[in-house]
Amino acid sequence: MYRYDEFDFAFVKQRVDEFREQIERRLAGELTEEQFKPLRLMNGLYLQLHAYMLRVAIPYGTLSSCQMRRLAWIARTYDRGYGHFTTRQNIQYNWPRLQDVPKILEALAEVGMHAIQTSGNCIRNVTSDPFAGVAADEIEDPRVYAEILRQWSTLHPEFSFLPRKFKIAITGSPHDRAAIRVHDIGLRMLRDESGAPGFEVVVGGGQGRTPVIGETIRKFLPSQHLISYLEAILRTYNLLGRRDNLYKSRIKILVKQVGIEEFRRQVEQEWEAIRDGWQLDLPDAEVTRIADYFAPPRYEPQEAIDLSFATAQRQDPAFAQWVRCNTFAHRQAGYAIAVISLKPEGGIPGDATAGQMERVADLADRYGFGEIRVTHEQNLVLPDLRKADLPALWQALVEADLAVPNVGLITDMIACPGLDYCNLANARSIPVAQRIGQRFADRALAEELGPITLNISGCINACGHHHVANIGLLGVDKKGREFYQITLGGRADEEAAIGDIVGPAFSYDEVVDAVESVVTTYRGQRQQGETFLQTYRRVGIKPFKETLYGTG
Amino acid sequence: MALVKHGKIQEDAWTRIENDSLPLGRPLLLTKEEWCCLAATLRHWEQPLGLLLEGSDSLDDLRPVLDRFRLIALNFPKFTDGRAYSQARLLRKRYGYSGELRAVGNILQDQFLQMHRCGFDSYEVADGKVAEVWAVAIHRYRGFYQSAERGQRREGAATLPVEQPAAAAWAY
Repeated sequence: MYRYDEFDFAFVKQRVDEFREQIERRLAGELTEEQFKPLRLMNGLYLQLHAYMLRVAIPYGTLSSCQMRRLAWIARTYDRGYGHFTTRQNIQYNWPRLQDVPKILEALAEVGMHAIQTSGNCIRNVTSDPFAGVAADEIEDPRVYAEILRQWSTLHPEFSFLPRKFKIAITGSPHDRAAIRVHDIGLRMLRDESGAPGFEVVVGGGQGRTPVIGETIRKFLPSQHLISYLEAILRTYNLLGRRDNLYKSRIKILVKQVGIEEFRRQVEQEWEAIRDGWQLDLPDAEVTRIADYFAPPRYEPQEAIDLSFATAQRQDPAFAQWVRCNTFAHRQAGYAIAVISLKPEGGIPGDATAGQMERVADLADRYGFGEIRVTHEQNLVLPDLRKADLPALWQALVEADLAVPNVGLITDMIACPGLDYCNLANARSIPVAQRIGQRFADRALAEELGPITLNISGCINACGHHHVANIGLLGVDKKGREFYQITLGGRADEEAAIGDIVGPAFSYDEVVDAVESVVTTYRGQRQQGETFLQTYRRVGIKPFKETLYGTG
Repeated sequence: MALVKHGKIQEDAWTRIENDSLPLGRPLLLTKEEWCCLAATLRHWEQPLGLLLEGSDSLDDLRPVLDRFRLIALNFPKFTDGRAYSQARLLRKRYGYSGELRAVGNILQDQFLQMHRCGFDSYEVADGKVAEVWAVAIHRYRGFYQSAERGQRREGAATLPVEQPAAAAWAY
């Protein structure tokens, strides 16, 4: 993984010093809250319902065991002993004190981490495939370009006061695990006929109040032009994006308003003008320098098939279920990728205690070359595991309450913080997730249902990704009471789609029964081997409406 | 209002059209609309001319006449409105404007550095006291991750080889 050099360490230190002075000016009353707000947001600091919230960047969801231990230490020292992993592969602390923030940032800087641009109307932390570099189906490793984009976007002088926030995601696999079509810019790595590397560039996707699936602005961009092309998009957006209405300021609205053809024309015109003269091409030496950091670890060559892994699955059904649900194909023979679910039945999606973080760090050191990933579904990943080590690893995960075998299943929910923490929310998300988790706590049943994504947002800002869930729940306020609107059929992968609203919303008390009704309908309609999405596509929304509302 | 240039408070010599009369003998700052109306009238005008541009003003059509202007002031209606950063870079880099570039309107001292990097030379601020922090702001960082009009970009070659992390080797 990428490792800070002297320049990087000095840079984040300088940033901490700058923000410390800004906090001092705020505390001394020299900065108004209105002036301070964009400055603190660009340093990851929100003001929530009860307290400040600090969002720490985990660039493209990759961190070392040492960095994870530091996150645990911060949780224990400055928060209430836990942290919350987010849908943008970051971690949030919900209870830091303003005066402690510089100390937290210093502690992060020591291990090559920061909270820069995890909020605010700037280019946010770049997200990517949590299986980058190890996935069996990968064409190109997106981490190299994700790191290049992290560096390019950090304190970009021109793009720090955009009309609105700006999110970039990048994937290098045909199966999109980074949800690139619902980002402001999505990048999909591929090769042209001659074998030269490049990107399909998708623009104007997003969730929020106005969910939009992004459109392809360029089918193939040679990789050396990545920065000049992104600058052309950003400049066009910075100059033309709306600034009069917070809810119409994202690039998706601009693209819809002028049309993808016209937007493409303007971007390409800008790009033509800067492509050659602005020295924005990526030098090969710089790409190689960064790529060297992502060289594969020293895998042990597989000399024989280790039968102990298969034997252990035969002997222990619980282990076998965990292997089926939580491990994924690795590009290296004899190795596997394991997802550690942060969705225990009845738990808070994405939360991990300091002790759990430390346990994961220890296991990463012991079995996985010291590397950890965070997924946008709010789980953790150990990307490089010998299959022969999986039984011992699983045993250790069981002891730490981290072995829930539900990755990709109905209880692997994404939920925003909701009304329990967030001052934007209309309804609670976490207790609904907890109740659904309890309702579907039967692990055999959950597996039998097959892959189902169920996401919950506490308001129309859609931080819980409900639009792109197979079953989406949106919290709304009806005369002071919490209601939940259900959408069906959304998905976030390479066939990204926005879910369909099934009908009138359900109350807080009714919503779990309504979800169960959707699941029951699916089971009734399901044909042999179908997933929820396949059944939904075949039968449509009608049978679900009928069982939910009893209408024809 | 005070004018900060190179970290010092300076006298602002520029004047505007008021009450429909062109002031004589002083540098004249015009909005784009005023310039469009008066371009012919001012053909032989000998005092320096400047332009005051809004974020919505296009730059393309000004390209042929940019060398008439000694000052271009870009307005920040709110300090969170970032259009002028892009305008500044276009003026400098694409259109080759080399006169003074001034930030006016609602700006914070915390933005000096990024304005400087985008090519601004001078700043119209509410309180001249901030002049003293200008130099600190400009020199806070040793280098940057991206090229802009000013500020040293990190050199790939100058960084350390992967095998020898000099700082905090214990960290990984």
